[in-house]
Amino acid sequence: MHRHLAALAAMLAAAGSAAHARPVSWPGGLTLIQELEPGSVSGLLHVTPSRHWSLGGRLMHMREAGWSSAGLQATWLAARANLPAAQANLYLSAMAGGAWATAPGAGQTIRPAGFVQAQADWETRRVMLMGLARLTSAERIGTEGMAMARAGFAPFLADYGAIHLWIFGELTHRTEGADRWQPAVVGRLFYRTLLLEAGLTDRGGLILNTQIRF
Amino acid sequence: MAHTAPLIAAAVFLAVAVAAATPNPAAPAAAATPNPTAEAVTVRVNGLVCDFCARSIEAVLKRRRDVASVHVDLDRGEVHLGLRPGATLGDKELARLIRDSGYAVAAIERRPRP
Repeated sequence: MHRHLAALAAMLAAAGSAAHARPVSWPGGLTLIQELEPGSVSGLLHVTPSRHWSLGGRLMHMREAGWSSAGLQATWLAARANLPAAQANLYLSAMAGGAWATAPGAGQTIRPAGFVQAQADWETRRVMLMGLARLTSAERIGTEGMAMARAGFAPFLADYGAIHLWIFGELTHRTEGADRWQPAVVGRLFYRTLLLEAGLTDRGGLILNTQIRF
Repeated sequence: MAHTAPLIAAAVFLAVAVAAATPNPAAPAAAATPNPTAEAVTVRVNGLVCDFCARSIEAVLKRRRDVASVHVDLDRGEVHLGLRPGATLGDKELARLIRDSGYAVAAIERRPRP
């Protein structure tokens, strides 16, 4: 059972995440998010009942630490500033569910697990700044803190319906693992409701994120 | 113990989020008087910076039968609507729909459709 869930998480990840962008959609909208980073891979499918919040299911695999988790995630758009040429947001998220170790020989007991996360961004059509902090924990399995900052720009402006390109510099810090400071360069392609990101860390670690809204 | 604190925080957050999600009991705004002529409406919207923003507004406004067309112009920060003859979408309701999409209305301008 646990292997099946881990396989499903990996499939979701391979299929595409966002990609750290707007985790709350329009009222009634569905969003599929997949994130692949050196330390973790995850998939999130959520529904947005109102402009203030979203609710969905997340599967996550901590690749280096060797455990997986599944649970319910809620995201609250705590604050948004709509300016004439910019937008700023503060999102608070939490996931609660179960986790199991995936390392060979580890027990298959499911333990309570979850994370809490805060994310803030400021974006114009040309420039974007973003910060994220997350604390992930699974009882008797592991706890990891992660903080990430991003700054990026769009080399050209594209109107709605055209392909948008963004280039980001990213710095991630993890409290666990062999590579605790990870600078990276990430490129983003954005077309209507499809957002794709690909990047590399300084040590060659792959970043692949996808977000699809429908 | 160190492992359980984030779990408790997550559970509390989930409970608060679900409680906060209770639908707004406020009654919808009364329908405006139907306009017998087709109208073109230009709405200046604050916060329009990406395709997700554009799609949010498009998705919400297209649910209305009296809206014939929606075009989002990110360059100008405007939403252009074509309203059918007999449309009841007034400024107050239009501003509410855009606010429900997650954005803020700066100005609304109406004129007869050519």
